[in-house]
Amino acid sequence: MVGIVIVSHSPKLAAGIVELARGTAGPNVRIASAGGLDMPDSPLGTDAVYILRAIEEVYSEDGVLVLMDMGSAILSAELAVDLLPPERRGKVKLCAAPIAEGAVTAALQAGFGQTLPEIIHEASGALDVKRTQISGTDAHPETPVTVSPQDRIEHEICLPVHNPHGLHARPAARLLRTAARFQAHIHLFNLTTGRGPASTKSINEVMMLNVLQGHRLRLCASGPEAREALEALRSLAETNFGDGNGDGACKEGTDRQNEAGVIAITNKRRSGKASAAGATREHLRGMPVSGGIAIGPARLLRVAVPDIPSERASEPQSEWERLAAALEKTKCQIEWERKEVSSRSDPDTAMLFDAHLLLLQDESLRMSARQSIFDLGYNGARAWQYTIEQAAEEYASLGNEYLRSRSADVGEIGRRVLLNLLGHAAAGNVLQKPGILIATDIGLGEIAHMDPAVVLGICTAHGGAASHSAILLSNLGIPAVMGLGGQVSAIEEDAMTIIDGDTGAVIVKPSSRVLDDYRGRLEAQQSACDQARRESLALAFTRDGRWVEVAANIGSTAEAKMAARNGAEGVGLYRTEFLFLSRQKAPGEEEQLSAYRDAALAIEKRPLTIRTLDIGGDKFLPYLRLESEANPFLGIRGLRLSLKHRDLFKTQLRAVLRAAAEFPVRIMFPMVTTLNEWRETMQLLSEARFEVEGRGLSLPRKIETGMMVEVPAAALQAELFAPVVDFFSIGSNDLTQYTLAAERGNPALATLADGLHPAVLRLIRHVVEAAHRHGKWVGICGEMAGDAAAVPVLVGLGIDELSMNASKIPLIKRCIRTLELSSLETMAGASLTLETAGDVRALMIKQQIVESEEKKAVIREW
Amino acid sequence: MTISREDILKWIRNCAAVMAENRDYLIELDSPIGDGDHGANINRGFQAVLGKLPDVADKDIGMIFKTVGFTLISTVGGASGPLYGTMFMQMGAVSENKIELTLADWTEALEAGLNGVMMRGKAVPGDKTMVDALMPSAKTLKEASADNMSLNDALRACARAAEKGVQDTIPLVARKGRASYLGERSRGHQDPGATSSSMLLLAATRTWANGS
Repeated sequence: MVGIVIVSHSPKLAAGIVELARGTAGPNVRIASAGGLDMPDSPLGTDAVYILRAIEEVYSEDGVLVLMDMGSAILSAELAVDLLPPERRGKVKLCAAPIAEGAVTAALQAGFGQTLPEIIHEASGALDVKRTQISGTDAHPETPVTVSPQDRIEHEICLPVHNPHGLHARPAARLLRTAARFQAHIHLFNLTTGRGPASTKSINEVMMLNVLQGHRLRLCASGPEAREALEALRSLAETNFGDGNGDGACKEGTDRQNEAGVIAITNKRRSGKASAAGATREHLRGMPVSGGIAIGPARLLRVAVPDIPSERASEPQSEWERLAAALEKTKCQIEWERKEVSSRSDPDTAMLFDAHLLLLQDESLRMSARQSIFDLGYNGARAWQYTIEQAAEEYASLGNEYLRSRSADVGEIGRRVLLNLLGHAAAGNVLQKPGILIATDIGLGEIAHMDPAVVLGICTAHGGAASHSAILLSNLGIPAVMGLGGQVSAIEEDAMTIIDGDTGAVIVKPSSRVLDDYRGRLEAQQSACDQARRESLALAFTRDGRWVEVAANIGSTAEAKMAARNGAEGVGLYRTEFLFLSRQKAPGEEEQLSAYRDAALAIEKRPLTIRTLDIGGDKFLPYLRLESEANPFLGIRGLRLSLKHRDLFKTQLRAVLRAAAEFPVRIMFPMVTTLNEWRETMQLLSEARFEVEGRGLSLPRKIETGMMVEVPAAALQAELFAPVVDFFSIGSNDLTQYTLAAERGNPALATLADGLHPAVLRLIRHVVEAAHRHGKWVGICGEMAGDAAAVPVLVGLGIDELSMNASKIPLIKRCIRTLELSSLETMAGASLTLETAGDVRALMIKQQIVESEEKKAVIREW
Repeated sequence: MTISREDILKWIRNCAAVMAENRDYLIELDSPIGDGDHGANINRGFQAVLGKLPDVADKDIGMIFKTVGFTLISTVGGASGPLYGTMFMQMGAVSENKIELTLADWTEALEAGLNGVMMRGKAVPGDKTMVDALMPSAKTLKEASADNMSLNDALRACARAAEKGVQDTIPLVARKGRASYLGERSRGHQDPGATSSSMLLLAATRTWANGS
């Protein structure tokens, strides 16, 4: 129990206050007085030694709260703390609360077993209660509620808060969401502390009410639907604001049960072993993002925020617009993640995202940032940083642990907005020692630099399966589980951690049985991989002798090395975006050249197909001022964007040409839609050639030039493109979503957004036929290329090159070696006439394309 | 020329005498801008110190200073209790196991005392507090010590700096302590805390700088 010391100049006053506090809080409270001087003729004054003795008397590890009157009492109390042994000093806190009200409140709270910071907070607010009582209900006349004339009529209700941790982030978020359903203006007051009003439009204001368990809330509503809003809030309060009865404990139990279930299923599927889940260990569940098992000590990482530029804002309006755009972008990201998480995880985890969303939309934060730009002349990043720091500090200074933890949420939101505003900070080696990386979020920039030998696996709070980070990770063969929400904060540095990238299970500090089980599976996984990899170094022919080229999709030099190790015969897609993201200005020609050279060397001088910058849609660059678009996926992206930023584009063209002079480099362009775009591009390419030549540098005699087919229009006009291109590369991800008008990331459309849909297959067939008529080859570089279930159809349709995540290569080569082209062609032809993607998949099984048990095993196993 | 343990004891006794002598004067200074109790408080403290001195007369100087500090803490009662208490305790901390002080030792002790006062009261020069007398004194001593000045000359320079520091508090507006409640109205009054501080340093000069 926290001890209390009362310091006063007057020994009678100090003793009287102790009497008063004991009278209220009971005799068991640890409270001592240190009043006056130990001198009979002069009793008024303070004595640090006397105070020291009083502190020692009530001291425990829970700490001591010192309340004092004024003047020398403060100095003496401080001196007394200094006289304590060093290890005790931090546990003794002086409190500025009014001595009588503070002492009574503190004694009561201490009697309840509250912590020192909670008691300090409570005692500090003690005067507010009195103020409220004396001045009536209007606790803060200096901040009146603004009520417009037409909605003068107020309704109000009072509600008790029973939640064990008060109105912490989640219940507060629920309250705000409920309030937001109505048009009424609603303000809250914490009747217990006298705090308020807080608008239900500001999570910040509501959290500042510091509503703890046992507090009473007053809700005032005006305007339309006021009554209905209050009724809804009353119902919400009856469920403890959605926390139910006994927040936490029972939910955890359910999670564990579910988790055990997941593991049991996994075990059955994989090895038939019984579940070995130890019910007492920490089982977390997120979204499986990148497959495989990883075991290792946890390594906690915080992604570095880029340096905040210090320049003053020359154009406040455009600074504000940039910041507003970054806020909007962050909001979209979180909304998307929330959707992802809620469809695969329990809804409560998704609620964490709600709290973040509410913070992002918080008017008070936005106003403060806006003011910093317009009034202080800060640039957008600095203004946001400043705003966030202030808000985080305010939270951090609050008494309740839950409210203090909000400070981290604020910081997290601040960080994410800054990352969207400035790009990721240049990433170094993220880990020094091998282990499982635990992070709130992982940027593409970081992943591109990861060494799979050091980063064994990844767990993140945010992120989801279809994010670009996920693609990259699975490419690198790093198992990852994302979307774990606040659960990651429970993982301690160095804690032994298992992650199962196939099921989304994360087990912290596993029992030895679980650990052994997973170790066995990891070994099996590795030996299967090793064998597949050895076989993979050879070319892959179908059983009737047709060579299918297998290449890799890469985004970094690290991936190129991995690709070469896994038997890639070249790179079918080098995403150059990774060079352009994560920075403040575009990479120059020399820098790009050196990156392209590195990749060409890493892939051991096999063909390297460089795709020019594919920005727009969901990717953007901080140094390109882009008009915001209502629907960016149908806007200025890919080649369209490059053609609008010709200097940027030509720099890249020159770098690619120069790399092609030394290595077998091909170039291809994303999002080609019309022939005119192609002609314009060829014009720029020849200009770039001329410029390189002008500098006396060497050029390739010819560079193989291809187009990506992602837009259905381009696929349908393949006949017109075929004479002018050297090759086609089908971007099946985008082609699928544009053909079916179904976003791939949307879980509700998962069955629709399937590349095996006959409509998509018809487009692919059309492109292949047109290309082959003109002696051109066709590759495919979407996820389908690495999908063992899709490969037979693709090969049957005549695709010449499959380009996929490097980690998929061994499997796909094995798969190709089992195929028989003649029957594939018949099957592919038949699939075009079917109705749905599901029909195509069913057909493949029915026609026994996968004939032997062994082959079935290959497909299922992977 | 050094300051012996007997010199220290003599100085402290002289301090007590000076505080008794100036009790009413300090009250007079404190009344318009403070609680009017500074003279009474500090005098009470030093009279209590006198009672403790015989017990530590054979101890090292560090122990003597610490005893003075502790006694002041428990007996002064007002803000000058913890402030002077801290000052002497800090002086004691750097004088541990010493039975005589060189000019450099005394300089170090005074500096440590000053730092203690500043740490405790969170005052800076110009706030119209003890610091305004102690800071220039410590600075002067340090310079004198660096210039290899004789102890006598150094102590005299130090006393002059303290007196000047006190005079300089008169036009200041108080920013710390009870006087700061008066704001502008504290201007034109000499600070009693700075005055008592300078009295301690004057006493040192008178006690040790023979022939003054």
